[in-house]
Amino acid sequence: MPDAVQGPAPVDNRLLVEVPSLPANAELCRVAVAVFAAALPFTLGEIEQLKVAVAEAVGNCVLHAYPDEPGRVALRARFDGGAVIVEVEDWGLGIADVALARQPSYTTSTDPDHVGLGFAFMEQFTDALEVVSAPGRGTLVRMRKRPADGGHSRRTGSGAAAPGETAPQGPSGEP
Amino acid sequence: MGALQITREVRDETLVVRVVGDLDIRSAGTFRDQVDEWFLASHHRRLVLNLGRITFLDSTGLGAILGRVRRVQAAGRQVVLVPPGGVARTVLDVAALGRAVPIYRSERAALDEEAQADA
Repeated sequence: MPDAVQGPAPVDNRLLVEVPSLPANAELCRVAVAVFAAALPFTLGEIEQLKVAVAEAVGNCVLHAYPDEPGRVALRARFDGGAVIVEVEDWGLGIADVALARQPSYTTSTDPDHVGLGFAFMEQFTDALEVVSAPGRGTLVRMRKRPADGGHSRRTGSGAAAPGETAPQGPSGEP
Repeated sequence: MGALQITREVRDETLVVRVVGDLDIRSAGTFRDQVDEWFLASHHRRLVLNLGRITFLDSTGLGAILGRVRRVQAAGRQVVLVPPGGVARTVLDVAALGRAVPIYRSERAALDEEAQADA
């Protein structure tokens, strides 16, 4: 006898959004993915984690792919085996050395406020991160996230810790 | 989600800055400029940054917080934080801010601490 009843399994839904790389669209994209992913049994904390990961991917398009003027950003999402897969693609400057760019605290920016943790957050807040890039051609970021309760996940943190509770320390490192 | 609101209150030599809403790529510049104007251009000795009602924090917002901490400390003044909850707290913790700045669980605690230090 089940102790809880879930709603119907998610249909074969898909999301495709194309926006210019404006700072305001980082919010539009993270909210769109949050609504889309809510079809899976994510906790609110996990949805918030996903929002940060998407915001970082779109933020990279705004700051780094198209530093001079806004360019095209495609946001795609789909479901796969109980996980959500989110892709953020641009056709901007691209990244010469992806492994280097993924290092925590690496940044090409001269702004002293830029901390270079965008990829670190994408990695920490999702289950898998792929980055495909070519200089002058653009970058594709693909992230996968599964609800921790939806299977035997290694993740235990809901991300919904109360103020003062200890949260996971530090980025998870290179895969 | 919520638009950023920043307010200030002067308590003797302390400036309390309260940040409410989303601190992200869109609003980080506003936060930076406002705090720099209110605090760095003032004569307050101590800054209490109350981040307790931040609803969303990304790496750009985190960078703006870190940048203010560095600038206040470089000016020989004191800064303390009241952290947000949830995932925003996790984002803050990734930068190990607790090593650089005293963190208080509430604004009250941050202000009481100051009263004791001054006594």
